[in-house]
Amino acid sequence: MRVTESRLEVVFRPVFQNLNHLKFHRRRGETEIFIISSPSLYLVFIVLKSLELEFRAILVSQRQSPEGISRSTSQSAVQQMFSLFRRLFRIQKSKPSTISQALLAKRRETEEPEDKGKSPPVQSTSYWFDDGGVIIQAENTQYRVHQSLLSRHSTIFNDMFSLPQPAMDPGPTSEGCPVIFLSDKATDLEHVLSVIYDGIRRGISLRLYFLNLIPQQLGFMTCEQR
Amino acid sequence: MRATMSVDFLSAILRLGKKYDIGYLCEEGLKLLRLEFPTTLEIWHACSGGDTRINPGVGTTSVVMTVIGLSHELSIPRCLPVAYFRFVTSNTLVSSSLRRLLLVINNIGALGIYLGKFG
Repeated sequence: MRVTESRLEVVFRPVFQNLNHLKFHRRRGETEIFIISSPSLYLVFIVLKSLELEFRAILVSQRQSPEGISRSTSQSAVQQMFSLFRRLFRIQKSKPSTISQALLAKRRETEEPEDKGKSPPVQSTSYWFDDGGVIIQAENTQYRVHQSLLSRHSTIFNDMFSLPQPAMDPGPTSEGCPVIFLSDKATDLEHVLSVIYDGIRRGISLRLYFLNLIPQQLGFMTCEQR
Repeated sequence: MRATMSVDFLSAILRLGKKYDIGYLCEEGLKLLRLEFPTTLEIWHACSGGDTRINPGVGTTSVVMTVIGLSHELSIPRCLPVAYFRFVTSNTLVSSSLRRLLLVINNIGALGIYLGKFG
């Protein structure tokens, strides 16, 4: 489920009666930033888009809004936001504010009913390794795989795993492993895992085709712009 | 006998290869698309005539239609001329086949929005 402005509003409106400003800022790449500000409160959400998981984000709050930031959406504001975020996060780790706790409690309340409607996730029969350190879930299937192997193949996963998890909310876990929810189809993911674990030749054998082609043609195609 | 790749597998490696930045997966898929949906007559002559290298897999949508959808979704416009050509030569243009095609393309539009391409 994606985080959207309207959804944030739905979640936060009951918590903050006088929420008068909801700002949405999007940065290129995998990160989305949401800012909620009111005279007494300032919140920054940094949401990893690649995780596609609602509120699997770092939540920061402060009672006093820093001047100027929430009124501007310029590039420098984004940088300011990041430095602010770093500063706030340190404060957050040592002393979680009551607002954040209230938010987290609220979040659990709002998410629970959705979870109840779902059937429990099933473990994949093909890609469930007992020594795997991370569980990825697509649709309703969980795959316990090796973090380092995914990192090796995909820079996106590498970036995802190298980000520190907030100490106060390490996210969902299962059997001691962090669970990462992906928005992909389970069949798609299984195909990709088959390549990662069993090699691409299991899915195809392209070598046969290339033998049928004369070298110039191959050369031509390699030079072709992607 | 030629080894083939199922269109589901092709879609999966292109889609997730792009999303998770797994270069060799994308490359593998694009290679096959280049051969099956070439952009020049030379490659067309060299590669056509044999059996297709993409099998329909378990899906009910035809390979060509899936490839048209994929090309729109993942911005691989190079495949589209040949893909559309194949579509019109392999389908009698009755309203039902056009409707199916439009459905595929419209779904991609929705998916594009979901992926944040347009919004």
